[in-house]
Formats: sequence, C-alpha cells, structure tokens
Amino acid sequence: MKTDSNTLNLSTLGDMGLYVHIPFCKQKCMYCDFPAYQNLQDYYETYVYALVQEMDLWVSEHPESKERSIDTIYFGGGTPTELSIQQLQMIIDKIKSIFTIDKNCHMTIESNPGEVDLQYLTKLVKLGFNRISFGVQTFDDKALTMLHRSHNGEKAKQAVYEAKEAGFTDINIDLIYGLPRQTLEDIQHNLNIVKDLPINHISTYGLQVEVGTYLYHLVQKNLISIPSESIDESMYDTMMAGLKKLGFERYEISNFAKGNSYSRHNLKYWHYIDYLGFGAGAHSFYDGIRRSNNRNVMPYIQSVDRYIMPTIDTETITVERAQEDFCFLALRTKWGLDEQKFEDRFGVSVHNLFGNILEELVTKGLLEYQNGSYHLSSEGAKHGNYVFSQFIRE
Amino acid sequence: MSTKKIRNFCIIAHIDHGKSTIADRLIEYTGTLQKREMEAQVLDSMDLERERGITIKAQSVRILYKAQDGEEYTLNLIDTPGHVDFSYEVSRSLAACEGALLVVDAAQGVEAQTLANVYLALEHDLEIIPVINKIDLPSADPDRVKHEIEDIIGLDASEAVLCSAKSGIGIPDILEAIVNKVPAPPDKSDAPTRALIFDSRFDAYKGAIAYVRVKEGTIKAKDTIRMMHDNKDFDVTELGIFTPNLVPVQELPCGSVGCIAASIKNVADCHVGDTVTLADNPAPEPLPGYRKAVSMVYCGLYPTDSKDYENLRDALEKLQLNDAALEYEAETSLALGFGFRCGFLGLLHMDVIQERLEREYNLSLITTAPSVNYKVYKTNGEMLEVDNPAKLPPPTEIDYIEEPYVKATTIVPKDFVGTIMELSQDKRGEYQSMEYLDETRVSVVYHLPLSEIIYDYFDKLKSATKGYASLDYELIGYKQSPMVKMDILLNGDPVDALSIIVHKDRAATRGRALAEKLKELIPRQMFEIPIQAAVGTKIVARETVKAWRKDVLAKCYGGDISRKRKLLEKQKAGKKRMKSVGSVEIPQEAFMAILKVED
Repeated sequence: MKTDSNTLNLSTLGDMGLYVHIPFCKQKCMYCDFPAYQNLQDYYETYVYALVQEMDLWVSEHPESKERSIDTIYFGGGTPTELSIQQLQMIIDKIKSIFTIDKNCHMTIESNPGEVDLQYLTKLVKLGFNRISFGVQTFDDKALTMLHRSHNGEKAKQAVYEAKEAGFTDINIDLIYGLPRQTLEDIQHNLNIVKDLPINHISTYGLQVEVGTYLYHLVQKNLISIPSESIDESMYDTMMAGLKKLGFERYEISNFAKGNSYSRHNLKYWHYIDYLGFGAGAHSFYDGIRRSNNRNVMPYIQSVDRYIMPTIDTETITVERAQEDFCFLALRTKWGLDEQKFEDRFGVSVHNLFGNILEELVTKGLLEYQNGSYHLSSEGAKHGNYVFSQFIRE
Repeated sequence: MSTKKIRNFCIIAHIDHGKSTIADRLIEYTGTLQKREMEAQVLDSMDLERERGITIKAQSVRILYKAQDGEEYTLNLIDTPGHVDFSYEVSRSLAACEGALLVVDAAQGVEAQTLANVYLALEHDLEIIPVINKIDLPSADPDRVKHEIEDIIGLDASEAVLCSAKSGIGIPDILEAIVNKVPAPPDKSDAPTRALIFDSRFDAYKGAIAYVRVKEGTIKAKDTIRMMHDNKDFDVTELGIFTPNLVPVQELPCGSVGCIAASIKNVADCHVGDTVTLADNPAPEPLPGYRKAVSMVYCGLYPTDSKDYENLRDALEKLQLNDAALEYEAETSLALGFGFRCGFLGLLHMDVIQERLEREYNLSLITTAPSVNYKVYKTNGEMLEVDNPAKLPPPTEIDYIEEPYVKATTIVPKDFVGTIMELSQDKRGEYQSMEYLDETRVSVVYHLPLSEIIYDYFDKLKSATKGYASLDYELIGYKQSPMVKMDILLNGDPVDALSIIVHKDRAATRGRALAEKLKELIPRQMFEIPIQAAVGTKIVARETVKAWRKDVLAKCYGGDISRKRKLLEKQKAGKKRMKSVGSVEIPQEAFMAILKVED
C-alpha cells in the first residue's frame, strides 16, 4: 500500500462498483429529498446521451480506470425503470464497451411496483440485471395514497412475483416505518406479508422528515402527524425482532438479507472500496477522492454537453479523515471494525488511534468485541450516530 | 507650554444617537487620521464594542485643530462608557474633562438614559454643548428636540449645533463650539503634580499603562511616579499621547491627556480613579472621588476544560487592570472543579467580561447563575457574607438572612406607570415615590431586592414598556428576608453549581420553572435522569429527562458518505460544550438556566 503525507492511494483495493443515477419519477414522493424529478419525460433521451458522454469524459481523464475490474453495477434513482429498455440498453452497452466488467457482476436496478410488467422485467434480466429493488415502503393502501405512491399493496406483491418469474435471482423491497398515521399493527401486517414473499433482501429505515420536502411543509404546518418518538421506537423494535424471526440477518444498520444475499454494491460504501458514479447527483469515491455531481438535470446535461465534467464537489480525503471514515463505515456492518484490516490499510493499529474511544464505547455497552473486531451491540445499533460521531476527531 | 490652547471634552449620548460616528468625523475632519486609515468607529476598538454598539472602555484621542481665529488647538476627546453598569468609569472620565458634547438624536429626542450622564456631567461642572444629530433624517424635528433639551434637562439649547455626522454636516461648527465654549484647563503648572487615572490597560511588554489627565504640575519622561492610594513608586519608562495611535512624548504638561508606562507589573497598582504624583515632590492630597467600585452581582466562572484554569486566572488578572470594577477570588465547586467567584457591577458587565474572556483570551467558560451578596446571621452570633449559594450554612445554623436592597429609579412614558407598579410589586418592591418630569415622562422610585433586579426585572421591564423605560439603581443597604437555599439534584446527586438562594414563598414556583427549563436544556443521555429541586430535604419539583431516543441514520443514498459525515460532525460539535458532572453531561447553558425561566 502506498501513502504519502496527505492523501491516500487506495486504488489497488479490490473490484470497484459502478453507480448510475436516473433522476426521473412518475410522481415525486412527498418525503423524498433525493435528486428525483417528475414530468421530465421529454428529457429522458437527452439525459441518456449525456450519461454516455459523461462516461467518455471520465475515462479520458482517468484512462487507468478502464482496467479496474468492476463487479457491481447499480442503477438507482429516482426510478431507473422510467427509461425504456432501449435507453437502458444504450447505457449498459456503453459501460461494457469502456470498463472491465467481471463475469459475476452483481447488477441491481431500482423500480417501483405497478410501473413495470412481466415483459419489461424479463427484458431487464436479458440486459444482465440479476437483482431488483422495489420501493414498496408499505403494503398499507391508505398510507401509500397519502405518500403519493402510485402503487397499492396488491400491486407490490404482484411486482415481486413477476420479478421472480422474469428470472431475477435477488429481490429487495424497501420498507419505511414511522409513516404518517402508521400504527404498530400496520408494521406487523407488513411483516406478515413479507413472510410469504419470494424475496431475499429488505432495506428498512425510519421516515426522515427532511427540510424542503412536501412532507416537511405539512408537518411544519401541523397538517399531518407522524408517529411519536416512542411509537417510532416501538416500530423499530418490532421490525428488528420481526425480520430476525423471518430469517433475515441484519448485516448492515438498515439492510437485512437471507442466506448471504447481500447488496454487494452497497457493501462497497461500508467497506471503503472505490466506486464510480455517473448521472445527476451521483457520487464517486476513487483514488482517495470523493466527488459529487450537480444534482439538477439541466445543468448536468449542459455541462456534459460542453465536454465539462459535471462535478460540483471534490474532496481529497486526508489520511486522518480516511481512518475515521473507515471506522464508522465499517461499524455499520455485521463484520464490524476489524483490527487487522485497519492495520493492513493504514499501517497503524486502530488501538493507537482510537483505543480510548473503543474502550469507552465497550464499557458503555454500545460496542462488543469479538475475534479481533468491534461490532455495534443492539443498543449501539439504535444509537449509531452517537457511536460513529465519537470517531470524528477535533 | 500654557494650557490656553487645550480643550478636554467628552461626548454624552444615548445608545444609537451617534456618539461614535461624531467622534469619527471629528478625527477625520481634522486629518488626525487619513481617511483610508479610518476604520468605521475608531474609538470603539474592541470587537465586542463594535458588535454591540456600546462603549465599554473609555478611550481617548488627541485632535489638532486650526480654528477660525487662526490658532491651533489641542482637543482631547475622552470617550465615556455609555451604560448604567459603568457609572464609576463614566464619572472618572468626566472628571478628566472641562466640557461635554451632549448628542441628541433629532428624531428621537432626549432619552431617559442620557439624563443620568448629563446630571453626572453637571455635577463635575462641565460646560455642556448640545448637539442635535441626524438632522437630515426625514423624521428629524430639531425644534422639538431643542425644547426637550430646555424643558427636560434645563439647558439653554438656543445655540445647539445642528449636524449629521453620517453625512458630515455641521462638523466644523462642533469644532468651533468646543474651542469657544469649553474652558481651557486651569493652569496649575507650578503646583505639585497630580494626575487622574481615568483608564488603564495591560500591555504584555510595557506592563500596566495608566491613561491620565494631568490636573496639576507636569510629568516628565525620566520622573519617578507615585500611586497615591498605595504609595508605591515606579520609574516612568514611556510617556505617550493618542493620535489615536500611541505616540511617545517627553512630557505630559499640565492640562494634557496621555498615558504612562512605568513597568508596573502588578495590575492592582494601577487603579482607575487613583492619583499619580511625583516621588520627589509628592502632592499632599490625592484628587477627590477615588473609590473602589462596588460589586453587586456575583457568579462563578469555570473553565470548561480544567486545563485552562491557569489561563483563566491570567486573563482575569489582565482584565481586572483594564476594568477596575471586576473582582475575583478562587473558589472550587464539586461539580465544576477549580474556578473563580467573580464580582461585577451588574449583569451587562458580567456578560461583557464573560464574552471578553472567551473572545480575547480564547477560553471556553461555564458561568453559574448570578447571585447577590447575602449577610447570614448565625445562631452562634457570627455573621457570614455569602455570595455563593453553595456556601450557605445549613438552615439549623442560621438565625436570619439579610439581602441587599436597591433604590431603583425607572423613567417611563406615563402610560406605562401601571405596568411598572405591577411589575415592581410582583418583584417584592416597596413603593417610594413618583414624579412627573414633564407632561409625558414619569420617574418611579421603588426599593427592590437586588436579587430580583438581576433575576429578570430588567428584561421584564424592557419588554413590558416596549423598551421605553430606563432603569438606574443604587445599593441602599440590607433588609431581613426569609431566604432559603434551593438545591438541584440530577440523577439523585446535588449539583452545587446549580444551587440558588430564593425567597421561601417563591421556592416552589421557581423550582418548578427551573426543573422544567433544565429538562429542556439537558440532552437525553443513555439513562433516564431525574431532575429534582429541593429545599432542605423537601422536594419541591421533579422532572425527568428521558433516556435517549433512537438515533441512527439509515438511508445512504448512492454512496453520499460526505453528507453522512457532515451530520456526524454536527452531532459531535454539539457535545463539545458539555460538562460531565458525575455520569450526567450538562451543557453550559444549563448553569445559567435560572435566568431563562419564565414565571
């Protein structure tokens, strides 16, 4: 491993991930603060050309990245399945023509139930996608309508079965708890449905009321009420216990898998491995530098059109910051913070740098130590932000 | 050198009426500083002063002015602090002058707060020149303001100078008025030297520097000076004048204003109000008016990080030199460790000192709730003075307690008289008198416990009168009151730094309010924290800070690690200003919670 005094060269570490952002949706969900826009159908084609153009720009600046093996590809959004099969095909062809793609590449695409049919799903599999992630959120129809989701509970189940039939090996659904007017019974109801579905992965997280969203506006004006903190916490507890009972293993704070069917792409983030991101608002981590693209579709397209990378933020990660990031990212997963891996990467023992913090967190019952690595305890997982923030030095 | 061409003057003005701007224009007009050297508001040089728009420390500047009579005059402008807390410093500054500009806003007219300083100036026999500023404002009404000056203050305003410092109108007229109306200092060059210290400052290389007005005799660069209040002698190392930058000179003649450096290492040897004389021909008597400033408000100041204790002590020592009114002595708290009990003139003074310590000396501090000085008569006949609630003896040893009372004079528009009376009554005040100053303004006098004034009387007064009221108070003595100590228990343990002394009839209400406020201020922690307010063994209020809630960010969109990290950094920053007491982490603000409760 090669390090200089300020930056860290991590380019030799493992296969990379590749992320493609498709910022379009049929309808924007009221809680969403991601780069996702509705009513932009007229720009889909232009956007796809821009994406392809961005990849060309990237490799002209970083020709060596062509040689790095890529073993996960993730189409996220927005809703990538807003694009036609031909448009998706164009992007995938470009990726394959430029980069070195591993033959066991894990290829995920995000979608919404009710917006794709069996025929479309089958074609996705033909394009090479082997994993699909549905933004189900809940199976409760009242809540879905209120959230401006276009599907209902029945369609959600149907989408999962059709994906299975189309040939997807890995199927994920996203579930949100703490939704407006949601009750503990609703959570239990969701778990009952999950029990019978042919899925092997669940992402679940508590609703965040983000500033600037329509939901935020409604909550501010008291036009909608979200569950109290204590109900929210009970929902969390119910989800955790319920998923465990159904055989889902919590391998990351908000991700649960059956039989090692992890989201291999998302593991790149936690395992501090490089990934490239293309599209409006996409993020990449490459060669010790974190970059992010312009979130807005039009400026993104215009920039790429003029042969200028649409990067709006570049951060060169110092060794100190890399060490901190490495710790709190690793702690999000079941594998935890491994002493040996830390030392292999940074050439210094994690105890030299964070010994006091680790000891204190163990004493407080937030971390557990086992076989050379530290893991969040169940209490620690609940208060992850506190634990993680301890690793950020002055 | 004769004193005939010297004029020493100050500027009296209400906050915002334009004192600093006028000072700037005078300096600019006479070319004392080139315009490009001017930073807006030259005289208020401390950051804090500029931000708050109040003058805390007196400063001075020498202006050379060629008058219309063809002669060049030396005008010494001595700046005065503008707040009720600093009246001793104001009186010392005034004593260094022969004249004063009374600046009144042409739109707002005479404000009550200005009056106190005008009367102080009249007491010192200063020649007062009315200046009506901001005459170019659309709402300006100079004629009404002239009437006000005549009716309310009783000064002849017929020759008041009209100006607008902002636009530079009338500045030459002000300079001429100073030359023609302010008397020259009396020439007593031959008398034994007496110079009044009206300000002082600490310089890391030169030691304590005294800012003086030479009243009699002369001070030369090679003299040995004597401080008359403690009879200590020092060899002068440097004499200087302010232009406003310090310029060394060989002598400070009679009537002049300047500064003296004399390797004075001990800050206590250079007190504002003291008289400087010469060791080889000392004056028989000091100048009148020296007094040690009286502290009225006390609080504990502790470094957030105990490693900073020494730094805090050094900083206090230096500030005390600069600010004669600050008192401090070492104290310890079980909860907060080593710190200092400090005495202040009032709440604003306390705030200012705290901020200066944090800003100028880069210290992070915890301030405990302010207290007054109680006289505690014990059953064994002993009398204790207690300004720290934690030091109050157990109730069984106390015969009775006396608390300080002040005479509070409030000047308000007449429509607010009812409000003032209601508020004062509620704060255990005793009505004394009421007087109409003119058709609209009333002066209301109450005797009030000082503790109520520092608690929230002033804030309440301001909000109840929409800011129109002005308050002045002076200590009048002690009165017996049924005071009790209220302890605050966190997680079952009393936290000494949170104890307060309250009137027994108010203990329950204040205890409840304080417990509620603390519940808001203390963040949730790993375990539930009961907050109890207790008088003796009796619990008067109880609240609970629930154990922390779930706090973990789940969704990570498209590998945006930087955003996650920023959130964590923010969370971490919030923790930094906490003090661990036992197993509970308490934020700095909690120790001042009592000032923030509503009751």
